[in-house]
Amino acid sequence: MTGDKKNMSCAEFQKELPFMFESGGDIQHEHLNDCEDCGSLVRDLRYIADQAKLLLPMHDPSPRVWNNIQSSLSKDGLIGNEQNPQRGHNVAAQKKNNLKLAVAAGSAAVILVILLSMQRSAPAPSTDQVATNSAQDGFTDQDDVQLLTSVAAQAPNLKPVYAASLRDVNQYISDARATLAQDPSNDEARVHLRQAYAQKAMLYRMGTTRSFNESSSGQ
Amino acid sequence: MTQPKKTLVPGLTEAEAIERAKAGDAASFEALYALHKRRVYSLCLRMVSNTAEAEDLAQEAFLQLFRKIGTFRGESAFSTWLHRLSVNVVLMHLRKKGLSEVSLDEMMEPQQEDGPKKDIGARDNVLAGSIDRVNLERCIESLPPGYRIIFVLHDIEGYEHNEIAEMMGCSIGNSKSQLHKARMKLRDLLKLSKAEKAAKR
Repeated sequence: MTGDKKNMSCAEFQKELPFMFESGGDIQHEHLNDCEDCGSLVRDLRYIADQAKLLLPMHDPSPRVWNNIQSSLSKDGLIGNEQNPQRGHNVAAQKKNNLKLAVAAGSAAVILVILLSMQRSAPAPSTDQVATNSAQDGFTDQDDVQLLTSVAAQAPNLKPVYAASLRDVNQYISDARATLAQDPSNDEARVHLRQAYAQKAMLYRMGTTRSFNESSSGQ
Repeated sequence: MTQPKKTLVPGLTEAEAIERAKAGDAASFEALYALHKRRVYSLCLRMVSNTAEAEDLAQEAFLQLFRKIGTFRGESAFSTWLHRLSVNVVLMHLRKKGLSEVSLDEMMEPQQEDGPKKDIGARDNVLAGSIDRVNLERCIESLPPGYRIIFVLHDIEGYEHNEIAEMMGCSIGNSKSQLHKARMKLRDLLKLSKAEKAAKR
């Protein structure tokens, strides 16, 4: 940079210009007092910079981007498997589904506990009270019908409770399966499905002769 | 672009989210993504002018960030670190595509043709009042990628030269010099565009 600012050539001034510009504020330089060309250049560059500030970034990427990122992070093991990589913007819907499943799980479990306590105080089986037409209760699964028939034969007063439990646990299974069908990578729904089947298995065990023998022997 | 302590959700600052993300907390990854996605995507979009490509680049930048988040020690601002990754991803992409005639090294070296021009300040062709947004966007797209990225980072996104220098791996002086060249080039493009419009009338 020449020491004489007033006698600076345009080339010299423009060589220094990038550093004058970025020091902030208006450029005050003696060269500009006498050089309209450089004055015009400075105004243009300032104008471009000012206009560019108006082009603020206002774009959002589509949800696809986060879904893909989440999926990759999950595959890499950087986020827990309990996270569903595909759900993305459906997180709220899945939470709702999982809440529904949790409620179903809770109600099925409560009924099982009630059933267990009722079974322990059940009266001795009466062959007169054998109900044979469990299909009328709306159960289409043959195993369910057999279970209810068996319960009705051994403890008729427990049959409605068993029927309600079966309906609940079947609904629980159905909800979990539907959620999984919607999103096969929903690990929480998979856990619920396993729980639902476990509850149904417990119901079957309780409805077997062994359970009734135990409850009978306890009386 | 020094920013105050950011709060992503009530009770969770950016620094806390970074620490939780390091531990594999998915919600923190999502919170960090939500905070920075717009800037990163906008940078990518301005560099490639194609939404699908820009999304792929933004995705790649965030993936690189999240995979390396365990190494983040806070020496620089998180957003600067993220933008450095994004800039690298974009420039690599442009080089692979063969679109960039200006390499990163070339970009940081003064080019003879970009020196001071005698006719650059012609009084009969001033820009003031003549730039419309569409025209400016189009001219920015026409800038060589090396110039474009510095112009976008400084003049549009508002980063300071020290931050850009960190992102680009160059000196602050180089950043200033390159920005000036980018503006000069843009001025030429805008004047050309203005002259073409006038000729059509």
